[in-house]
Amino acid sequence: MTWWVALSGGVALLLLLLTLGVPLFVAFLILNVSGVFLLFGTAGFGLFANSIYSTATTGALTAVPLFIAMGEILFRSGAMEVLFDSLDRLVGKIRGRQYVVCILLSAILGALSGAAMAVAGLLGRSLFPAMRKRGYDTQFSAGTILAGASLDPIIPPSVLAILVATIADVSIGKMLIAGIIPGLVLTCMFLVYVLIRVHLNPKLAPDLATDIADRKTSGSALLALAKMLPSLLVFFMVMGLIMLGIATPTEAAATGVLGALLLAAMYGRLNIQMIVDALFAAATVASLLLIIMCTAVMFSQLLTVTGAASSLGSLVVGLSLPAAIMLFLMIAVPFVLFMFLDQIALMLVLVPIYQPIIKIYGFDDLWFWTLFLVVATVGGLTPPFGYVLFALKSAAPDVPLEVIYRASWPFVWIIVAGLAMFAVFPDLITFLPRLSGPR
Amino acid sequence: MLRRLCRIHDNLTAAGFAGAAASVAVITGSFWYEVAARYFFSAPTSWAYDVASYALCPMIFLSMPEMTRRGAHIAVSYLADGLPQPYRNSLAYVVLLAAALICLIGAWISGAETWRQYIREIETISAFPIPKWWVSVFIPYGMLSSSLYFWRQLAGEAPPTVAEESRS
Repeated sequence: MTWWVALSGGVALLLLLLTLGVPLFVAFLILNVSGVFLLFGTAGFGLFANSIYSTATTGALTAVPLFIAMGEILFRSGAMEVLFDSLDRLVGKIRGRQYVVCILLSAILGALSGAAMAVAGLLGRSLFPAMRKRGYDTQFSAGTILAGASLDPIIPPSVLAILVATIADVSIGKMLIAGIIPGLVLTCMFLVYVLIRVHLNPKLAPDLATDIADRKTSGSALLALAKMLPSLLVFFMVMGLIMLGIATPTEAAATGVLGALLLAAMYGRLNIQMIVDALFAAATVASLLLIIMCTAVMFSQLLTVTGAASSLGSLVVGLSLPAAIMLFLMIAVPFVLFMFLDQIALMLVLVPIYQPIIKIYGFDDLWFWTLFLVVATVGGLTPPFGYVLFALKSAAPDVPLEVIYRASWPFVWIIVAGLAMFAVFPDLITFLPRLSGPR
Repeated sequence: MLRRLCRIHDNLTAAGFAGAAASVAVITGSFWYEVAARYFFSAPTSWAYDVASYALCPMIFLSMPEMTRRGAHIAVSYLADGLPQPYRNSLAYVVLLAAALICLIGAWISGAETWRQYIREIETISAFPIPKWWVSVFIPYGMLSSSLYFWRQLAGEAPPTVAEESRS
């Protein structure tokens, strides 16, 4: 079988199955079982079984349930309410301050969990109604929540970053660290945009007097800052240990779970039921993601066996495209596809296809895959099928989907501008990982 | 009789799901022990990382049937959602049939491999070796049980609603 028939046939079959609504893991099972059967007959089935086994026992992937468990415990610990109240106090007397609170809170939540849908749902249920009640513009409020939630897969710890790093065979620790500066830069870009919009159109936010009438906005700023410190300590227990080269990402994730439990104890919310709930939630979310990984990894092995990966590399060399154009194409393709397809599925297909091209062009692995991660994140935010949009819609059912769609676009373009900046200035991504330890 | 078998299947799935949650606890505990042993007692273990890696497999495949029972697996459903009801039902039937068959085939493939590992007494290649089938046996279980749920859904059994889920 020629390589292009294998590659295009495989991708076409997968897209067809996904479009028909076949669960992702089932689609990959069908693709890989038929691929193995066509190439090796029944003799290849052992290879397929071992591919599932080796993925399901990949030590690095244990970080996935651990980070999810950490986020679940933190969500149940009462830390979110403390962070919100503290930020509400700390953000100064500026018009549109709730937009600022929303984006900062999302960035901090990203540093504590990393699931955009969970944060969009959480803020959609808590902050969104409060903002509307205070007289904030519904569409713009929705936009800031979507933008803030989209930071979470970029700011470490991020489950998506672990998955990309595992498939692309990049250091997980360095991949997590690489997301810090892009996450902070995007946070600043969102803040600047929000403040400019409110300055140009003051109707987007209520009068400052109305806004600060809430008692939560007064009190000691120092006390508010002190209340935030324990949560930030949990972040240090994860990313600090990785950056200092003291712990591996998996060990740091486990330490983060311990930190989250201590925080819950501090806020008086620690009990057996809460721990059990968090464990079940972690098993649920992690298994839904990892079962797809287990059934999909064989796809990259099939690409190698059929010669598709190397032949595609030769084809790309033959095209002789300048590196900038190739980079643009490699980013533009998933940008469009992520609007319609699931992040994980597309990632699992594109990563093995992209790997030889990255080597040929000499792109820095960490830099490219972080750019890819940002594109995958935008996919959750772009209409018509971004998951984060639906998470907010389900949290605020009275807001029409069209309003949520319109709310997301300005922030999508801001992320695209950020993406261009990270592409032009690779140091924004690679600087911190270079400084960190060998892990 | 059939109803009783279904109840046994559901109870087994619920017990398996509890085992998956326990696996998360095992992973966490192993790494806590490793971090404490290495950094506080300068005595790193040879087993913690391997135990955590082994525990990942049951975490995934003991959860899998429960996710299938709930109809919670990730799917892109916008085309199906936009179809008229009769077409939607037909498509759902085809999707469930395909899922039931491929999971059955997956169970057979992984079951045969696990059996081979058992017969040949193959051990894991790690610092803390154990019989490989102790870990891999969860894969055919997850596939087979999921296949049964897909067949049950084909037979007209709807996944539980959120309200039913929270009651249970």
